[in-house]
Amino acid sequence: MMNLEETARARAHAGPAGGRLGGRLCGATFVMLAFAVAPACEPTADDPEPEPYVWDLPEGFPEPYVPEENPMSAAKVELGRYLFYDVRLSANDTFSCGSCHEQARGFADGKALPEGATGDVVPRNAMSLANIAYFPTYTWANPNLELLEQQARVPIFGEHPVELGATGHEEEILRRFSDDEDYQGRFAAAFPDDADPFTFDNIVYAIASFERTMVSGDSPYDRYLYGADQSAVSEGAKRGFQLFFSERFECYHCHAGLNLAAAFFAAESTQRELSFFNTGLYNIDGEGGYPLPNVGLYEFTDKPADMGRYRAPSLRNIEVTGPYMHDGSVETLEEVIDLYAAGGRELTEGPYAGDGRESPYKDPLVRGFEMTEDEKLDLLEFLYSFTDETFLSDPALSDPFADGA
Amino acid sequence: MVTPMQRSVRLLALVTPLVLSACSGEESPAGTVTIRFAPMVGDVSFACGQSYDGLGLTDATAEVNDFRLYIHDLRVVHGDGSREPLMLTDDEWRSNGTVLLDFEDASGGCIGTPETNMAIEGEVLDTGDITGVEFTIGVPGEDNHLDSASAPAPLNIPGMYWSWMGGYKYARVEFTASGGEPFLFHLGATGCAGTTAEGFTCSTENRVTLSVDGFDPADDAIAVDLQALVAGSDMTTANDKDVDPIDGCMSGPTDPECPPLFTAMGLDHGTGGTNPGGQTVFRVVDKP
Repeated sequence: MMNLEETARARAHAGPAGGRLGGRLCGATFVMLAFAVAPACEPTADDPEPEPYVWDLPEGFPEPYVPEENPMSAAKVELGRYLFYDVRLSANDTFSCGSCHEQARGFADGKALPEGATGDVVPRNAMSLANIAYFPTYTWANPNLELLEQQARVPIFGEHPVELGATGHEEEILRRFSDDEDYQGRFAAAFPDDADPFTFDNIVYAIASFERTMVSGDSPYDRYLYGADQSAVSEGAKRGFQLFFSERFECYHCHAGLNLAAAFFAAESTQRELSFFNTGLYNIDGEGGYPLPNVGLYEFTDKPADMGRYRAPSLRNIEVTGPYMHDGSVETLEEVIDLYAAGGRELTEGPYAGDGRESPYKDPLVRGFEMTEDEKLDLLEFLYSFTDETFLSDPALSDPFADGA
Repeated sequence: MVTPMQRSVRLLALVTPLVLSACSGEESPAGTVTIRFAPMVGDVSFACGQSYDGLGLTDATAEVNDFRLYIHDLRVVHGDGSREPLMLTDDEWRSNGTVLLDFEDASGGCIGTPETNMAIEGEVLDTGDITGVEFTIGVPGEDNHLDSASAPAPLNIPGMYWSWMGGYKYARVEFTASGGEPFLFHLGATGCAGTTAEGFTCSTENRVTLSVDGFDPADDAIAVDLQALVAGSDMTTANDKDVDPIDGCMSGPTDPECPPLFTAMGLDHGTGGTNPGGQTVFRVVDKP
């Protein structure tokens, strides 16, 4: 017998198949593929003007914000794709960004907590990267990391915990790329003005440029909402849509818009709003405390009210990005829904026992609701409509070092 | 709460006959007018991170976490009773005649952004003898169901947006009382239905037009007073979570905490109409 999640999955994905699979094989995607196939270009003095970058964005998606110092180019995006997946970026030649951000999992990793190249456990769940270009801040709780270029340095150089472990191995890592004939062409094409393009600045520029192309906007939900295709989602998902956006369930206060999150930032945005919330996951001391080291925004602000406040993650491809929450402490989506229906989580045993529902810092909109099993099924079907098969299998985002690539 | 000044701010019917004057023979030049707003709590200026006493029916002590609102359709009123629109250039705070007033700077316990906007500079054809200003609170219906992701600033700020269907939060004011109790006020249209393909309509638009008399842009500002806003509200007694799960008012027609807040704004809760007694939140004060 199928459990609730399996039933929802079967129903959510039983609808009209196909969709607009061909929709994104144009524009920038096409240019990138051309670069992947063509021999690496040598920069020449007489073509100083770089090709203007052409975004290939789904309907309704504005241009992402791109910092002035790192303009997009097809060559940079493609170099970034190689670097993102290349284990040579880690000190011990074992780990890449892609180790914790797998395309088929929406660029999450399926683990509660990831391990770095040397076995250090990273205390927070690997975030999915779909539409990562559209966020005003990065990582779960840091209010200061405003650019992907800043964020990428954390896993590359961080020592507590070690992720890629580049600190102290900088020269060695750069030499791996500068000695490689294929990369010589790719770096030169991406940074034609640089006498020596083999720098970590350029590495993070390229990776950030690649990450900005991770745009998920061809899910059944998008075809239903932006494309007005009434048959793109199941009937249950449509009922779930109403529940999701209702005042009874209140899901949409933190998960709405293009990101299915609270935070959003694009080229035309003028303000970076703080959007961090305590969802009542923990209350280890009866005063709302979260277990160390995962105290949320409080780690950066020292304000008591920021205890346990985390950035609401994107629900894009949420079906495949579990386990859930900042510490991966919730295994399934059904449990996530139960947790919000209960207005937070009570842990009755273990070192983190406590009633998160009673946390004084819990967001007032996380206050629980009653639902039937049918409603839960409908809500799950709606959540599964965020699964974007085009994105999860887009060759332009895939691992160039994978077998058969 | 009645202050002498509030009498000078009277409520207009939602549909005001627009008397667009053609300068009526005056020789005053065209030029720039600045309408200044002053965020206040009672008689003191508002600031993030400050605690304020004597709020609402239970004399609550509370800190403010958010204080932002949209207004649109700004007009200046001349001494002869003629009106003309304040012409605005689109920028990060204004789009198509809608302006975001943003009084919080993300310091202290405030949750928005460091940027603030407390003054609106626009162009008029006649700068002479301006005695008042009119404006409507909220986002006009034709812009209220944009996709905020692709909408121009300031209609692209996630925290001021409910959803495609629900539209924008016209006003977002949030408090935390000294005992930790939250009290939220999100004003907007309710009873909205529709689809992205066919558009949306709302049964209760909850927009109100205010007319501010005795206002000289050169010397005066328009106070927006949070003490007056919550004067009729109980901010500290926990509500019955089965009836009303959220502390404060989300504008819904059955939300028991909405009526006093709507009344203070000059609205009639649940009907989308206006409160015949006028509003109490806005008043004319000396320019800070």
